[in-house]
Amino acid sequence: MHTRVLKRITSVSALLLIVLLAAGFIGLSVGATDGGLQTVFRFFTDTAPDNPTMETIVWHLRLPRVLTAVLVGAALSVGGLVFQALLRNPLAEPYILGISGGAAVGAIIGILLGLSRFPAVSLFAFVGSMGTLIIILAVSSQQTILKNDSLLLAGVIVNAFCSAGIMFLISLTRVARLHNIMFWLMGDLSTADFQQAVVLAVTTIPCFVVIFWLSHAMNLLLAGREMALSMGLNAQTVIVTLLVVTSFMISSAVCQCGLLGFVGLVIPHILRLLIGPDHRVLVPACLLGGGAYMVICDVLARTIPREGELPTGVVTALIGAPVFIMLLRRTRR
Amino acid sequence: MRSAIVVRNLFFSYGSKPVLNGLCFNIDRGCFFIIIGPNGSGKTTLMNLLCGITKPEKGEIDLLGQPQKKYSRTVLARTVALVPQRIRLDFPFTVQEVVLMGRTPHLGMLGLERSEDLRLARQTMEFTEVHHLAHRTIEQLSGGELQRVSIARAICQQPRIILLDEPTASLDLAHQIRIMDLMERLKQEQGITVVMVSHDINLASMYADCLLMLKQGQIVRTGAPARVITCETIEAVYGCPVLVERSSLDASPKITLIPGKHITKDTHC
Repeated sequence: MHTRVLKRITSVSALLLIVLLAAGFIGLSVGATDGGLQTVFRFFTDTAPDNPTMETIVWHLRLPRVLTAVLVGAALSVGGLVFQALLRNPLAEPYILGISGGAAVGAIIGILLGLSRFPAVSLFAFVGSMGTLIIILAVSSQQTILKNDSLLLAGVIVNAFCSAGIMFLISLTRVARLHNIMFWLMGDLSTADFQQAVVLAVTTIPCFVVIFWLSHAMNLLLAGREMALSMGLNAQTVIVTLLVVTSFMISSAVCQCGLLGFVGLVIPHILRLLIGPDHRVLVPACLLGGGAYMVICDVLARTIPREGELPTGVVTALIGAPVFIMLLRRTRR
Repeated sequence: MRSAIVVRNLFFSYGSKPVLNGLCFNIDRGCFFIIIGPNGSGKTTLMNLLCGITKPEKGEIDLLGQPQKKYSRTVLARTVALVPQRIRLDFPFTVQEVVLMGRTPHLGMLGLERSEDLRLARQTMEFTEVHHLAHRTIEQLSGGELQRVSIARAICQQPRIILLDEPTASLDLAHQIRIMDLMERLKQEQGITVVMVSHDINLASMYADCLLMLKQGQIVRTGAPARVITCETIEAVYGCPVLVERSSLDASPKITLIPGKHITKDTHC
């Protein structure tokens, strides 16, 4: 019964879980202060802690940061995967489409109004991301949303508009807040704390469940809305559910960590090459793989500069943009 | 014999442009039914309406004696399957994965197949002669192979009625006859009602139990091929004179296009 697909899901997930755990281990051990490795080991070997400062750094600074990175990476990768399936376009990605940008505009408005980060700012971000999503669908679906160029063009325009909106809003604010907002915009995990990780977990994990539940429906939608209907899928309901849930998940990630670009492009692309296009396997794979990828990107952001650190979004963009160009060339062929 | 499909007073339009104009016809159970007509006569729209992808503006469609509206999406998919003109899947699914998608209306939300579903998929792939391609990705296939995969997927829905939209368009001769023979066998062996849109009048004439000729969303004539394919109807519908003869094979009507140099005043019917 059910063996073939379930076996694939379990084996791929188990493998990527190991990768994720390894990444998490590195994330906890590596950083500006040495001695993390011993502290992590000591936890597992159950010997008494001898370095209280390091204990604090590992368990109170790095752990929430790693958890946040895992959840954000997972949300962005799975989000990219969903948009690629719905738009039947491997180049679709929340950042490229401007959906992250829309969420950022919403979030900044919330922040400038002096609202609490959760749930008020998150709600603003969600409204922003849904707004841009609707604009993109309206602009590019006049004939068909399948056309590469019209979709990307819509994304570029929405993104430009969002950037302008963001700069406008920032120009209204006082200088003291500026640095924080700019850093957050570039995709920042340095402020992550346990509360933030919990908020992210509560908002994204239900979304993952819904998306996995609809993963076979995404397979069918790749054959087109009409074909999906003829195979017995309530296509309209599924599409709307996926769009709303994914926007919510993305806006939640943006709210906590700003704009981390191209994650939803790189991870689904690599995993699709490795394990094929079946979304029932790809959704859990992107979840775990995206999490691991973001942890590693964050480690790089923390360790590359001699002093201080880079915004994590700089790392994801430096890796992701070349992958995007490569993909674009390939789809043009 | 009871009808597989009954269409009553069917209207459909795209915006202000009418596509189907009050169609009424019956399709008998277990019949090979072929719809012919020039481009833009509403054939594809009719197929989409029959399988419930689009909703009619006015009029009713009954499937196996029940109004189509009363069917749930899932039950409808177990009753009617569609083979579109071209299946478009830009992502590299394997042939077996695509064929298994046809099992969707019989499975749960995640579409996890049981061993009997896999067995059925294999059987169907053997029937349409694509079993040797099972693990290839569909982008590696030729047009004819892809069409047979698409047909296997539709058969896997275990429908009582199968709809095919120009399945032989852009295929070479051998592949065309292969697909027509497959449909003939499907009708004979499993009693499935086959409804096909075809642009090839001669092929249609040889296989169809019943033909329906459409022009600008209206029925010109329906019935046995010999009744529908006459030089008058063809010239009226397609706007060109043809020669209608009897095939030496099975006495079905056969048309020959007449080149301009052979057209005289007497050529027209």
